[in-house]
Amino acid sequence: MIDRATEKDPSPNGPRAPGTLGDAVVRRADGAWWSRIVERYDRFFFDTVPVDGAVYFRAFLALWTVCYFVPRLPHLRELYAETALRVPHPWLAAVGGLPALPVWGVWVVVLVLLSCVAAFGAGFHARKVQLPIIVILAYLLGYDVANVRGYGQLAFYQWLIIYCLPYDRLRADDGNVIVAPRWGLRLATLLFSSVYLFSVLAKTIGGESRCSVSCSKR
Amino acid sequence: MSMASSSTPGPLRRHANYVILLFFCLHVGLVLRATVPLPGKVHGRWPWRMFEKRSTWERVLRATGIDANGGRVELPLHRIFGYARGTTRLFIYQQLEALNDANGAAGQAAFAAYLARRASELGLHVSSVELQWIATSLDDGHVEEHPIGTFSVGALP
Repeated sequence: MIDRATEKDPSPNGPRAPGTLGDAVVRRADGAWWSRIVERYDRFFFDTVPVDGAVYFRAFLALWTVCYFVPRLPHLRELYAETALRVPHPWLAAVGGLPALPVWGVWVVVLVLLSCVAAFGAGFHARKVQLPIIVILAYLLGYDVANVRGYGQLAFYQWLIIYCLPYDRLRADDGNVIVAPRWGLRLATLLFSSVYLFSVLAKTIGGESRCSVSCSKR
Repeated sequence: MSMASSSTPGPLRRHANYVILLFFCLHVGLVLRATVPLPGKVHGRWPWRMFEKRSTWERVLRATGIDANGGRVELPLHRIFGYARGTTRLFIYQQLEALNDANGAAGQAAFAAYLARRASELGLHVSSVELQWIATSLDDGHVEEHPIGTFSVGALP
């Protein structure tokens, strides 16, 4: 059996070597094609790169989240403690929705969140505090999707994706920046890209024309 | 800035492949959900559709309180609602689906009751609340009124 992962055509653009006609040629070409895909995939996701990008991502995502919640602190009652103003996530609404917390409970939740985010951004037990951060964000997002839109939702998904990034330490004991496979960073990049790709698709495939002027008035 | 070829250990790499596969499957699923005519709620809209349509109308909510004697007073929404999105005047009620849904009477009544309760904290005691959207065309300045309804708020929550 031909080893498709290792065999390569020695002269893919040159004249064919004698004795390479028939089924063997097809099988060898297939192998080269597949191995090229595997190689590209491998390089795209699993090449090792310095982790400074992941560490900066960790710090800036934490900073962004703090900047997102601090302006909301004076309005927590309005945003998270009034059932008349909430728009629960449709999936959670189908199973009864999340329980509403009293205002003091919302304060406790948000202060715990900000503390965990600060620890995460500083790299203090970052892996451990990420779980409570995701749980609290999931509660706040599920409780009311109306005040988390667009980039707020994107940030939530980034909190999931960032778990795949090697953000734990910037430097090794010898002082050099650590290198690690970049697949998590690639996923974060692809997530960013998909936002703009989907935005374009939503606008160009039945975008403006789908809603008449009258329906945008109410 | 590639430094070297992958040296990811087997188990970690296998898990990474699963996560990558899940990521791509989710995105393919989102595309199919938006493009294939699926039945009911299985069919969905595009994700990240914030630029899908550009409204040529700007609208504001007008809430009028009616007291027991029939007196009418406009409720001060700018004092009732504190949080606005960024530096805009998009208050939280702009995103309330019930106020945009003709069948959302329960949500509209709850919202009216909330307004009445907050208004009473500001010294305005009303027995019913009338809600309507005031839509202004950004193209020609034309103004239209779109009534939502009048809701009795005698029993505050």
